[in-house]
Amino acid sequence: MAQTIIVILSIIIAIGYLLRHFWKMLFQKKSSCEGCGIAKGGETKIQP
Amino acid sequence: MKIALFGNPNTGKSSVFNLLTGLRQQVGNFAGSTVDKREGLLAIGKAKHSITDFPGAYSVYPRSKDEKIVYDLLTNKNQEIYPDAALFVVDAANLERNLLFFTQVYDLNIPLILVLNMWDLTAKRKIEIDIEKLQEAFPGVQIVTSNARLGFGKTRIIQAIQNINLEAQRSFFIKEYLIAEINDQEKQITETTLRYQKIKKLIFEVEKINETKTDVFSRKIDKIVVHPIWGYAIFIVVLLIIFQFIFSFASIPMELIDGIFTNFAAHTSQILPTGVFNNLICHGIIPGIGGVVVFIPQIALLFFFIAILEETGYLARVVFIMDRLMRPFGLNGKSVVPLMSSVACAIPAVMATRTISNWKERMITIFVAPFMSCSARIPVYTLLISLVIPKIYYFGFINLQGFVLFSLYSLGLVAVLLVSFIMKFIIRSEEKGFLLLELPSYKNPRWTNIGISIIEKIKLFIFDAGKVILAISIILWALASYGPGNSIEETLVKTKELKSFSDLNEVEKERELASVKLEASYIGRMGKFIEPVISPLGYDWKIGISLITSFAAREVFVGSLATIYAVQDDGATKTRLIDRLKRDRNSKGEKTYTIASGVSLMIFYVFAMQCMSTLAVVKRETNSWKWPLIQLLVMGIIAYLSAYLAFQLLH
Repeated sequence: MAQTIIVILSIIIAIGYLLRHFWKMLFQKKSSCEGCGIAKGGETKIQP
Repeated sequence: MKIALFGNPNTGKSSVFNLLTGLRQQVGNFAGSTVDKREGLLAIGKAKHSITDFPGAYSVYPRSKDEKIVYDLLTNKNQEIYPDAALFVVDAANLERNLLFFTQVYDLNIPLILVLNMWDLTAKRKIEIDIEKLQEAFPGVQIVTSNARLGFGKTRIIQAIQNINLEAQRSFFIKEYLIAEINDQEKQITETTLRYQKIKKLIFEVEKINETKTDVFSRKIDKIVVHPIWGYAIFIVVLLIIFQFIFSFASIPMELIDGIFTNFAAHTSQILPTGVFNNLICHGIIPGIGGVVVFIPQIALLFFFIAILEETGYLARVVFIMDRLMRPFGLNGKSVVPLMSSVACAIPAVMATRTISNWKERMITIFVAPFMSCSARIPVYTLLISLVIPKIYYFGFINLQGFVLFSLYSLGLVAVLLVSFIMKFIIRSEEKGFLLLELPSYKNPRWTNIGISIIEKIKLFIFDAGKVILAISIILWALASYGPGNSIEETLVKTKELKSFSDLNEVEKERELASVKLEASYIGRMGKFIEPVISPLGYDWKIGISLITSFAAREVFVGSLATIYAVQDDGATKTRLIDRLKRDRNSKGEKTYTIASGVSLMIFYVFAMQCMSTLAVVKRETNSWKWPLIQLLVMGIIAYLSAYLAFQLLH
């Protein structure tokens, strides 16, 4: 039973994470690449 | 006080900005790191000054979108952000080129501080600058030296800001200088030419350059390295060597990592209590993550070689010779830098196209950049090459597998050239861009820098891409382990009743039943649904599912295959992915991975736009969904047709 609950929770978290990830990627500013992270620019905060 | 930061590209403006404001803006050793303006605060005692870092420009007259930001500012004094004073950052070792824009800003009567940045380089290159004479030529301007990247010069710059004279009237070339209209190119050219003549005279008086041994050595090497014929031959040889090394040297650490993951899965399977959680960990997550992590040595090697080429100064020569190659195909000279950076990732490449002035030429570059093979394709290429290409050596040292990897990268470049050539006729453009490139002297690579950069990139690869792969592995495992209602059990019973397993041994029988079970699962049903579309390319439904999941990121393809095959191989945790793929057979009983299907799949990945992050960044850069959707469609059609052709010819 405990195993089943952990697995169901893992699946829900995984789906939630992916939905959030794609939402952020497509509709929010994102300037770094998943593979290499080269362009981590654009993240500077305006105020120090 | 509002202080603007101006200067040519790649003079270290962002480093000066970071030095003064304490911010951590991205800096890079290439032109165009800053393509938008950024603001920060500098507090000196009670006084607070806002500092705005503007994109680099060669002149007040814009040639690109980012330079236009500077033009728009300087042509309208009524703007709120029009500066009270400016810090003009120049590369001290390239004073002549930098002074054109400086004198224009000077003539606009903006109170100025001239920052001679990268001052250490002048000594290294044996350049002597007479600061007093320079000061005489620009009365009212304070001149300070700095090396912002290493944190030197902050106090001098702050003192200069405190002592700045806001009232002084100045003129170097034209009194009451009026910037020519943006479309009046003739006036702009005349002004630039005459201004340069005056700058040359000044430089003759203030600067003395003693050529170093390194400069002489670099000039001699360049005679061959940028030669119209030998240059390309050397580049091809360099690439061939790199890909040979990637294939030969990475195999030992790869096998080690592979072994660690398979043993880890087997060990975990034994120590965890049996059940669904055990199954998820050992047949879903560990194989999914391990399938991709195993390719880290190859990606690290590719980054290592790119870093060496960049550090030594050879990459600048490659950009130079590629510019010559790409011009006849309608690519802007400025397209070369984004395209070269596409080898690591298409996203910074698409962003780097902001330096291209003409939007049509920029669109072509954005459109073709994803054809260049990025590092995320390496796991896919490597897995398929190891699977279907025999390990044969020609002349004792040319490994066929390494050669195929080289050919896939070359195919991407050919696609870039051909698609640009076609687009040249579809999108017509009168304006021509140019590439202004300074060839640095050859240098010994700084090994610490290379090491740090590789570790950083690998860390990002593991933790950024890893999270997506982990989530997809969990979902795939669930979809592959369960089916609608009791369909899996019912299918198993039916198969046992209808099929005779008399000619199979126990292991083969188990495998056959596992395969039937997988086909009855959710993922099997989804895969079977799309199979008719991909079967002409030689792919089965498992490849089809992995193709779809790899839209998230290309390397997810390998992780997905690893999870699907691990679920199918229920019970056998100690088998490597490559062995599972090698023995896999389709519904007709034929091997799934043959030369024909493998090559077809590799070609598909060369051309297909399998990257949601790139689509998102294209949407952001073009401000509409039109271009990314056209790109997705066109690249998809090219990929499908080429893969179809490859499979049918080789089958």
